[in-house]
Amino acid sequence: MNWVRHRLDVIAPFGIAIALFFITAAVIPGYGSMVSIRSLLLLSSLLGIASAGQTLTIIMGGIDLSVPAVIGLACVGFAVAFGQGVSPWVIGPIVIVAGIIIGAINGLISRALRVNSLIVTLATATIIYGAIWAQTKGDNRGSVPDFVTDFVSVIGWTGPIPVPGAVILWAFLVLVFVILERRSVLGRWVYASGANPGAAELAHIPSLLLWTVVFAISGGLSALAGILLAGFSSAANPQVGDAYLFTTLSAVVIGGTPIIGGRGGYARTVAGCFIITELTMLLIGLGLDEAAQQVSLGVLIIVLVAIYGRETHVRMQI
Amino acid sequence: MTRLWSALRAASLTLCLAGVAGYAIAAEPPEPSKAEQQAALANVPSHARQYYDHYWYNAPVGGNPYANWTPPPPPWQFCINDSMLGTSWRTDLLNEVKKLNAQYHAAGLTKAEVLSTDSNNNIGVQLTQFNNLSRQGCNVIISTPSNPTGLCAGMKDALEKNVLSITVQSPVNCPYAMNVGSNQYYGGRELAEWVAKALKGKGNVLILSGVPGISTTIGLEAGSKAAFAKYPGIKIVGTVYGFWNEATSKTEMVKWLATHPQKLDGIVSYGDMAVAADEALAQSGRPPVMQADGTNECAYIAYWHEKKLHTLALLAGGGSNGYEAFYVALKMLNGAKPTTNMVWFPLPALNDASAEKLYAAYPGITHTSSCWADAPDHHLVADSYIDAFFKGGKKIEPKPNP
Repeated sequence: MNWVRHRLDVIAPFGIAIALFFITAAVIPGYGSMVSIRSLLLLSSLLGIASAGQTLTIIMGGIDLSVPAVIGLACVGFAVAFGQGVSPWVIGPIVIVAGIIIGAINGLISRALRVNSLIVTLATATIIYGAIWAQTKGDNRGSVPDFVTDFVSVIGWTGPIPVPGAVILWAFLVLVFVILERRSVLGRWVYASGANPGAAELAHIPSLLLWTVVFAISGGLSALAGILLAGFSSAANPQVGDAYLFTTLSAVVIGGTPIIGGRGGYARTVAGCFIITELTMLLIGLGLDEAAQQVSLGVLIIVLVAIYGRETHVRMQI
Repeated sequence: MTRLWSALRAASLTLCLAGVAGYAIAAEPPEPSKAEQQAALANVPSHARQYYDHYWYNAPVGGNPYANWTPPPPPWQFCINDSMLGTSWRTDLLNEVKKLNAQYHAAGLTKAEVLSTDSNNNIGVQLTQFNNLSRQGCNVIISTPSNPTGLCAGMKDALEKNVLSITVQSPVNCPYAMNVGSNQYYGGRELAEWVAKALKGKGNVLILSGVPGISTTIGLEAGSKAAFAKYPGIKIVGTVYGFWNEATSKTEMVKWLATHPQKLDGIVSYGDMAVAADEALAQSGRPPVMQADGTNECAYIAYWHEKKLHTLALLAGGGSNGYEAFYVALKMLNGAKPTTNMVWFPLPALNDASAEKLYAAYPGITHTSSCWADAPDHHLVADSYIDAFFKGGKKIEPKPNP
């Protein structure tokens, strides 16, 4: 029992994700079908890819509010350029590099000037939205290559595997992130900086480089999510990422990574992504309206934080 | 263990409080008395009254707010006070006004430039910008308020300064502006009626709506529900909110379809979301359904053509709406007196044949194109329909060429 209590923050998210699946399957007829499972996997993977960078920045003690804006920029940039005849193999990498540069600037400014990353990334988001408007004047005519649409199609296949490419990409990303967090120097630095930034600097962790790299990863993955969302929605829309501000933060928090950083991990965010997607599917299946869904998601966050998110900060435990 | 129990107690208390809060959701607007309705509609030309069904879902219909207004002498300064220019609909509206302004500038009747502002959906900023335009010598301010009351103070002040305020598809709840657009309730009813008839009065239908709780959505949904209620064989099996965003619409539709295995026969959607709904159906292994959509987006027109769908759409592009607003301004600047503050028109419906014609008028569009396929003449109604809302005034010269 003691073990369960001490590891509640790790066990609970995964337990809830599994329980929610079986509860929904029992309550909603047809939820156990292949199409429903593929829908769940695809929607969770889109959220998961958008939440990956956010998880790292939060563990490090930062936060990235520019995620929706970078998603919007990548979606519009990719679809508009492809619509004008640019090869997706040229514009795709350009858009991701643009996301990496924006992220790097976020991290650099936040750390060099010691300004809260919440403010910096919020300002960057505003600049990005303004820049999209200045460039397109609201005229976002574009199109998306079929292979990107197939990559994020519910009924897509990856070779012989009956799930779309986005799900396989997400699984690969989870593997990379878990190794990065647990086995790499960068991972150790991220946790050390989140636990106590002052102590991390005294331990000669290059915090400026660390923040620049971690926010660059967040920017790059947000841009990747933007390209995938362009394929998913078949449209160039700067507002395409709007839903991903609240949901990426929720996925991180529901997964059990504290918003003040220092602990947690991407594996937990994976559980958070499944919980959010499953819960909304259950509520939609029960016929609850949008308002009730929002209330339920908010309540869930408070309930989960009340259960396993009230640990004192790592810094205070040392 | 004590700690765990205290956490669970805190959680259940929160759950109860949030549950109570969940019921505090915006309600539908109250219906005015029959006498009030008759008095309001008395201002509207008789042939147009049918399009004012349940008008109170939009804004109050009243008399002429410009009874004591004197048209300024030319050259007139046209201005745009936009709440959010970042969409192709708003860009089309701005471009249409600029295009018409250029025609009248060539005739020496308007100033060369159209002044425009964008408040990024911040009503406080929009009011400040509105006041600035009114002080900068604008004679006509065409506005899309992000809130039905937020600009009222500025519009009252503008009226006192002899500035004409015109709203487009976003009426205000105050008697200081001319409101040009269409009745959301009527549109929602028209779309649902088409679906019900196409299904021969029998089947499961879904409403794919915009942003929950705002007046536009409430009006559209109420109209659709009233239309479906007339058909006992039609069952509304759900309402999904796509927030007028393709990705959100498709996400929510995929979730809905994954949790509702029953047969779906029809969808009513309110714009920007129809293609996403159809793609979600196809990717969930479902056949196409009877669908009516409230817009003329290029993507939907192209998708319609590519998939050979049988559907209905309402023409509602920003360019056409811009033309109608400009025409109302021209009428008033030429001395015509309006009979009401609310100039509403029915949106033209596209059927399979007219959609094909429209598709041919926009070569190269695909189901991923994010433009608006306006009718080639950029009219939503004949000018004579609008003329009936006015008395007196000079003939408009030169004739506008949208």
